[in-house]
Amino acid sequence: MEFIELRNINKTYHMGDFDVAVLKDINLALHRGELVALTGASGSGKSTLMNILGCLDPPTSGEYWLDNENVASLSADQRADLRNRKLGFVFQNFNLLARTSALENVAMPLAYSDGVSEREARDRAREILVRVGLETRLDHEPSRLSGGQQQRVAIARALVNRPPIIFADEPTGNLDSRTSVEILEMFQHLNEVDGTTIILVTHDPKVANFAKRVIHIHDGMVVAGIFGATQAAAFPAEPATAPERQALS
Amino acid sequence: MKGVRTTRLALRALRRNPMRAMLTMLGIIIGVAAVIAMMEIGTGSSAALQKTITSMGANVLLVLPGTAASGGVSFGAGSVQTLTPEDCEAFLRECPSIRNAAPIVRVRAQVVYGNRNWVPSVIQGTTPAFLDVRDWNDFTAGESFTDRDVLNGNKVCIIGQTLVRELFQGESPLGKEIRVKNVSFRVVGVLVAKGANMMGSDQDDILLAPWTTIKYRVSGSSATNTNTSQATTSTGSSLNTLSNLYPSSAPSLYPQKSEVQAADNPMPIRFATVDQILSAAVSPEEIPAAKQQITDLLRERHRIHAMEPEDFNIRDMAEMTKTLSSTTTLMTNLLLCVALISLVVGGVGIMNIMLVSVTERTREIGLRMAVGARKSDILRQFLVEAVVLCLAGGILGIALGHGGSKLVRIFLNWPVETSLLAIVTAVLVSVSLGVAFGFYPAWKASRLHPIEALRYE
Repeated sequence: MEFIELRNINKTYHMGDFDVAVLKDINLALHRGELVALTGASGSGKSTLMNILGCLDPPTSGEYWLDNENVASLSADQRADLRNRKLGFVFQNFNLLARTSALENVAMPLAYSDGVSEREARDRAREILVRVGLETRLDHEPSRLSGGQQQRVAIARALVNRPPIIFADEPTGNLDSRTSVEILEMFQHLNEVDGTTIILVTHDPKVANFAKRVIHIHDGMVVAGIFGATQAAAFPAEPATAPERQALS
Repeated sequence: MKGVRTTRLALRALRRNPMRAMLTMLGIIIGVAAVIAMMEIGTGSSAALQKTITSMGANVLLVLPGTAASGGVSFGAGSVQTLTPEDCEAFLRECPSIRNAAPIVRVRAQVVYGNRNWVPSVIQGTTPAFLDVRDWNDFTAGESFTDRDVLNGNKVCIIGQTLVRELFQGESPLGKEIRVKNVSFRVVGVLVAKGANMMGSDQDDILLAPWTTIKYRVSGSSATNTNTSQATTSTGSSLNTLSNLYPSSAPSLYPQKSEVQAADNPMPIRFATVDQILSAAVSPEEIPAAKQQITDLLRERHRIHAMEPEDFNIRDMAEMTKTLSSTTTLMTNLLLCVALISLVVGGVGIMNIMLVSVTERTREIGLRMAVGARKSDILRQFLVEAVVLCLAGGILGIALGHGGSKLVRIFLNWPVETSLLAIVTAVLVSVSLGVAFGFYPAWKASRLHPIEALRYE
């Protein structure tokens, strides 16, 4: 069994009298340590798929195996614990707590995991902030940080529980292109050095180029990248080359 | 473990955002303070108003002697002398509803000072208790005569403002001798002005002296005023000269005794009678009880059989009592309205600010859920925050409301009365509103999918 495996996942929303099928019979497998981009136009169902993969929302039917656990059968509280232990999230709009220091923002998820003392939480948060290059900004509040720095705090927060998987939902959507490259390189580095599985959700082909594998969603179905070997025709398989990075910035 | 952690988290969240915490608390502070201040000022005013009306004599009971009648012709109140100073003392001793009582001996006479004279509308012999019964304890100069003066029949008096004006013309009356029917009285006190009573008669046109002095020295020396002064001469077993003059079937005070009976049970002879007894009930509500107690006591003391009519009358100030009770009801209702309005206004304020402050944090809730907070963690955090805010706000509100009403008392000199009920109600309502409306949006947010909460704008 793969690290992440979706089997016949369906997601249907009830809109009044109509049922809207957003995801249709999705089958997908991801290995440990992959850097995957999840792409698709808006309304294609990529956000819904990301919510299901991120254990934020249960599927209507189907099985979702994450690290040998069937997430679809877990209760909301069990999913919350699972998110805390195994998943990290990075959002487009950073979602940092206002008027709260970078250190406390990063330590925040540890308040919900058992067996981590507050002191330990602060130590770990400091260590990770140093790793993302913010050692001089520990006590700064988000309003005093630049967009790139805020996103790095958000990445540090996603990493603080040492999760095997990180979900990044349009992580560069609010950043300029130079900072975007920095952030994306940081994801690549994490993926290569730590072996963290990273799932990038984006509609931007340039961002998707940073991934080793691109999964393209269209109309609630995976149209490309079901298997690690196949690459979507629209997006070249190779990691972004130097000239392409230049073009981004 | 997790509970302690989230509690600490909530406290830290509050500390981190002192401005928002302060604003949220402000709603509760103002709500609680408004109710408490309004209630305290209102209760104080109401009590002061009642006291004012009471001081006009709302709880005064006047006991008058009964009437003599002969062959169906009655002679009107006061035509027999049946009340004694001992009756008055017995009121105090045996009637729990009576606050104070004073005997009164009335006389009408000319008062002379130097080359001026005046006939006061009221010359009363009484005891110092009279002043307490009438709520008239303030003097512009000097002080009241004492119980010792009453005992000794000292020739001292206190006078009202009208007498001061008519007799002294700007001179200080204190220590001066004035003559009443050629008896010289030393002025020991001058009463403050009380003005006219409800019937329009001048209450300051008054001279008060010990009743013993008036009885034995003034009216006793008057041959013309039999109505108020025969008692000094009555030393026999028969008390009423009038009933002897006009034999009638009017109640005789004592059943006739044979010589032997009289010798066996020597009856104390009532040397003195008084014209009226003025008494004050403990409170206006106690008036019916006081009347009943006086009736029972006097029937017993005067040995009146069950079938016989009473030899005394009791008058109360029914009109004034009615005014008082309607004023009290009015004030109570007014206060209730004020308190309800304050509670509603304060409650709406609390509601709004709690709803806003939690709704504004929906995204924070979404984020916390995304990183692994359970529903119960979210709920506990917001519940703790709401409880802490409400309690702190409640305590500050009590202090502010109480302090505010104290300031009103100090600077505006308004009467203020602490109202425990107001404090308890205001705090209970505000805190439960605050907790409910702080908790409700958090509960709603915790039921959202984390992703929806995160996208909330």
